Amino acid sequence: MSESQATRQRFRQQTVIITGGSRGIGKAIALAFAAEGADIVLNYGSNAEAARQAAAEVEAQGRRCVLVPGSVASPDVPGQLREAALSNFGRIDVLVNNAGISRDGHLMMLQAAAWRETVDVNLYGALACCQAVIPTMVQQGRGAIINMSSSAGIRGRAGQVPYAATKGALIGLTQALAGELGPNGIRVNCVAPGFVETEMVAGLMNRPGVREGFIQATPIRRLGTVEDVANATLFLASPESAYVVGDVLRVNGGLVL
Amino acid sequence: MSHPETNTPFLDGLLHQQVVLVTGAGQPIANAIARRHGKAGARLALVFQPEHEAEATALARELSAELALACESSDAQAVSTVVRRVATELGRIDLLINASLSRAAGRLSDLSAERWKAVLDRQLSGTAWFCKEVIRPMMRKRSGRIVNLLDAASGGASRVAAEGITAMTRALANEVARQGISVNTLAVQLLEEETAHLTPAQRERLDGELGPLGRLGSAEEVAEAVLFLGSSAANLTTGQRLSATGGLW
Repeated sequence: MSESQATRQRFRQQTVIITGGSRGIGKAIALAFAAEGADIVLNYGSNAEAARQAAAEVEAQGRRCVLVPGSVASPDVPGQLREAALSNFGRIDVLVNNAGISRDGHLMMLQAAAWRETVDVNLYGALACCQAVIPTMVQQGRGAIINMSSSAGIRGRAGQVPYAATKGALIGLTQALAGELGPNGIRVNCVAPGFVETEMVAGLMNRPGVREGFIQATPIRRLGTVEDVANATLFLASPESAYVVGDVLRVNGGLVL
Repeated sequence: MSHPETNTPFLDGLLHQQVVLVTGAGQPIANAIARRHGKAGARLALVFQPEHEAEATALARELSAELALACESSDAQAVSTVVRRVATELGRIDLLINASLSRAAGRLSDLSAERWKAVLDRQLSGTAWFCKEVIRPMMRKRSGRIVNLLDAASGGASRVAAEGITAMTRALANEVARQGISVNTLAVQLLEEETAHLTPAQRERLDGELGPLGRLGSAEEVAEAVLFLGSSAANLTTGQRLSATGGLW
């Protein structure tokens, strides 16, 4: 991140909730918000060690970070995120629904359990977190929600049917909620990253030729970084996007045009 | 409100002897689709949600459908059983039409988890289960078509399902195109047949929001668009979303 960006303080005294934030894109988003002055409520699924590390990095920037473990699909977690934000920081300015899983494979071979798990986390979890924070944001008369979709939600590839279905559905969720909540000063948008180098796709990327293939498929000729996605997320949470509502910001190097 | 006569461009016997599985039987849109495909010469397998048994059975009798089976579409196992039975008894499945639309309006912000799951489990997951199960019989003969209808009218959870179906269709089209299987979606707005229960005040409000075409469509007109996507006229069309919405999104 350039120095001029790092010294901006667009989110001073704001509270940001990020789900799936111990690693990868979620962690980068947490650090980027912290660098611009926000306190963070960080949810993570299972990797407590990575989450503590992420929290330490937020705190190293002089901001506070509260950890909330558990899957967003479990019934208690969304409420716990809201309570953690309100009891520690007294407000909720931004929710980033970043938690997501992928169970790739051909639809013909798909197990019902794998489909349900994907829908529960990627879709039900996201809505439940939205519903948990909406009353607070309505009361405040402002707020921003950013959902992490994917290029797969716009143009899914073979082997990605469950992931594509949930990421496409997240776009529908974004549009529906944006229409409902706009009158309350709450903006809902989503980010659709292309190929980003994270642990989630490390297995795939390490197969012979795959990484090179992805780069060749991307007009700008490189994989995305987690910071690329964080920058777009911060834009959608900031006043600079005040008139952007219900939109899908593609951060994919031109992968899906 | 009257509709212009639908002068079909499709030949009689277009789907002669083809096995067409239509879900959502007993509801107006699926009924019109079943009638139209029956008229085009198809052998019909009608699948209906358990609560539509009476209407679906009457339709099956009217159309001399070869099979009429109840199936809770949110139940993956039930869908598997029903599709296998169709493939076994009728020998093949040439065309799957996922036409079980329920107009589930309502704000997402305060929708109950139960209601939300009920809508998504049927519309999104149910569509996925039927697609999954027909792939194998279609692969066996290296041809098949799938048309997934989606509700472009209701917003809320239906909009979530609609965008999910759209994305799923694109991914699945990429997955099965080389096996000779095409998958497309058809977006459907509110239809004249679905407005009987509206109060005069609701009707008046609706008439003020009719969109570019200035009238509601009919289920028969939707059925013509389905027929296109299910026929060889759409040979080059896969992974696409066609809107039969009178110019509305």
